[in-house]
Amino acid sequence: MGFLIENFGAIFFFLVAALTVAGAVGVVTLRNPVHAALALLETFVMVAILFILRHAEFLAAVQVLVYAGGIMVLYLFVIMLVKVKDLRAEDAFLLNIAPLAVLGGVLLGALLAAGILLGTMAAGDGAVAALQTIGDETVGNTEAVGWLLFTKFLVPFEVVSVVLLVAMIGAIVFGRRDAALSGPGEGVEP
Amino acid sequence: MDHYVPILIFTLIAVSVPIIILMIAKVVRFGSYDPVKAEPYECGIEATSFALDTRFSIRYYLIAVLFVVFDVETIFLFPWAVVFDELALFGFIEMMVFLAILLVGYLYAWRRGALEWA
Amino acid sequence: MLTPTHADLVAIAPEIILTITAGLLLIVEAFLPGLRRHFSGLAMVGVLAAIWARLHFELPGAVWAGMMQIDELAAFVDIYILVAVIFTIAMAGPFLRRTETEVGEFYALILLATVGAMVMASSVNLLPIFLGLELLSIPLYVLNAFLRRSQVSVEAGLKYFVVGAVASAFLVYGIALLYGATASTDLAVIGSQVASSGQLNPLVAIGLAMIVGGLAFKLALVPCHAWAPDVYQGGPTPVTAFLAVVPKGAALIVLLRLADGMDLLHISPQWVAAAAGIAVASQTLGNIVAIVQSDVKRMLAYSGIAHMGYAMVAVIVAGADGGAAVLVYLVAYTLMNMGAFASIAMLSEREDRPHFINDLRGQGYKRPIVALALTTCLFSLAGVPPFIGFTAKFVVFRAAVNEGFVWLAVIGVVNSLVSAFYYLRVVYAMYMQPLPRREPKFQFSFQIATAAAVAALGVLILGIYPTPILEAAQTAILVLVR
Repeated sequence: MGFLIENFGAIFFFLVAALTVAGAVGVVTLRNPVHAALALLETFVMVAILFILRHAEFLAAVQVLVYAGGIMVLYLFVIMLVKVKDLRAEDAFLLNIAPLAVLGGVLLGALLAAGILLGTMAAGDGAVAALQTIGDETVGNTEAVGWLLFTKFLVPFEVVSVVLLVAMIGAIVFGRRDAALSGPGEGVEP
Repeated sequence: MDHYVPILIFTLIAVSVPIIILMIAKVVRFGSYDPVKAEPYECGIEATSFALDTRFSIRYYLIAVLFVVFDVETIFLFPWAVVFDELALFGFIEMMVFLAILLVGYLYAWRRGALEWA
Repeated sequence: MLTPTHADLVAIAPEIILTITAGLLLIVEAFLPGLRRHFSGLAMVGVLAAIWARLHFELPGAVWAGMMQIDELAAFVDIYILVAVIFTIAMAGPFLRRTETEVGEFYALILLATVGAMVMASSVNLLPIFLGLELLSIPLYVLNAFLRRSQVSVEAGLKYFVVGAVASAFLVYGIALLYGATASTDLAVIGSQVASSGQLNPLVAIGLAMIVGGLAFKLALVPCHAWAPDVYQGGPTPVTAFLAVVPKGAALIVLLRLADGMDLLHISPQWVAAAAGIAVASQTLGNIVAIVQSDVKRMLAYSGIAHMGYAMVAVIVAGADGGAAVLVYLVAYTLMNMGAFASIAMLSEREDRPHFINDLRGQGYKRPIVALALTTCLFSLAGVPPFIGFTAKFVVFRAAVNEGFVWLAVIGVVNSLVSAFYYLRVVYAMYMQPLPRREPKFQFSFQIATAAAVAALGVLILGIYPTPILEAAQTAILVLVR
């Protein structure tokens, strides 16, 4: 019991991390797309908890509001846009390359893990410095984020609004049904 | 991290309450199974189709995208509000530019009928 | 507390002008759709105003708290991107009228993508670079699928989207790793830290590899090239022309900034080996597979893969020579591709059918101006003197030889010889073969023909007299390597 209490932080982290990975595995392995979406939701929430553990409260709030809220709804709608029942089972081709894909993923993961481990050992200061810039640990970092966002990172911030605008136009271009875009265009077959 | 202990306790209670209630229900209820009980509930009317058999209108997608876009916009208002006093007039102008760009998108979406259902 | 100065504002005046024009187009499209036929003119005015702003205002250097570096290099790249956009818009007007899809969104999306490319090319911080890339990519996903009734177009949009999303994920993960290793997203800080440590630590190496991988998708370099043929073939031709030129230019500049900042040539033999492998593989695969293509647009896709392989050689060399070679190559590549795609946009019957080389039979005498423009651009792509394609390849290979990469130059020259075969096959079809019995119905468009002719003239004139471009490129690159 004493061990549990002393290492509560580490145990909690590994628990959340394991649940994150489990959710991500569920997203790609579950057969029913709605179940996969729910697994994704679980992953999002767990990532939000990981952010909190790193004192990135603002990011955690964004993660819950935007991903678990907005993006999730979007995913579910998109799943419902297609007739899920009509989705074919994977082709034999896809099943054949599945082992290769898993192998590739494992290799990439191992490479990344090794690189990150060796890298942090080689350049310990850099990694620590990167974490220290997160800001004041007790009050949350929303203020620090706001300050940086509206002074140093002003141009990226304004670019974000243009990116959002573009996303909006793109969706409307695909979604609209007036004559100008879907008329019987020359050489364009339905 | 101490601030989060109440939240952790809250989460644990919130998760365990429905589990406990379901367990109690499982213990006390009669164990009769009827296929009608497993059907989706549509205000008491017999279900005409299952959810996975139908296709939603593309309009749902449009609404969802617009929701996400404006959701993200709202997120940016939050850190802005926190440091608003220190940023003064300049911060105000920044945010107005941000909102103006999105306002263009809003006007466009509105006139294009993306907000109408018919 | 940062308050923007006059210098800050005028430095991004072209971007502001383009954004306002795009917003105006959207508003007019929404409220006064009757004005649609003036849209291409309005977009053109916006681009010209942006060019004017870039040439007129002085170049302040570092602006916006060091996020962006508006100097001669940024000006060079901006102008090159904007010229490419002018060609795109000139092609788009008649093309959209022909396919009955002329709406304001098209131009607005093109202009906003341009803003993204310009932000990407003139930023010296990984965050705005990433956002610029997104702003460049998202409109292109939509634009590729713009002919919604055409299945190949939708397929092109979907493929580009899936591949682009993976590329963005790679890039952002690489950025995160670099930030983890150096505690900075500023290219100068990262560069000086890495260069002074004299080697790549594993974290930096993996971060860099992921960034290069993400950019390689945009550049369609082997092994991240598989999307290119389908997307080139399916997308609307003006969009293909834009896609072939603008994202590649911006991505090359970012790559050059990274390679030069970290001094990769001298501190990392692994980078040299990997990049040289990518360059050689791209050239060889691009050129060999292009030979068997029967669709002109697919052929140009493989040719684009090969050309980015040549440009990669210049990126490896980096420094003043290599950097200038990259810039010259970009200008040449832009003009040649714009001319070729403008010609093909006109020599096309139906957008959802392949653009067969066989359909071009006999067009050399039927439509002499466009055929001549296409011929010029193809000769130039093959690297035949006196066209600018030769000059560009010469500059690249000379830089490689000066830095001791004789073998890279030799492989490049051999590849250029191979490439001549498939370019000349098109010319052969146009001039040496008779018109097919069922003559394809191509619609003449004065505007597109002019665009093709101007590009071809540029290819010829700058090929004979390349001094202005060479000098501009050398001045521009001095800011980077100083």
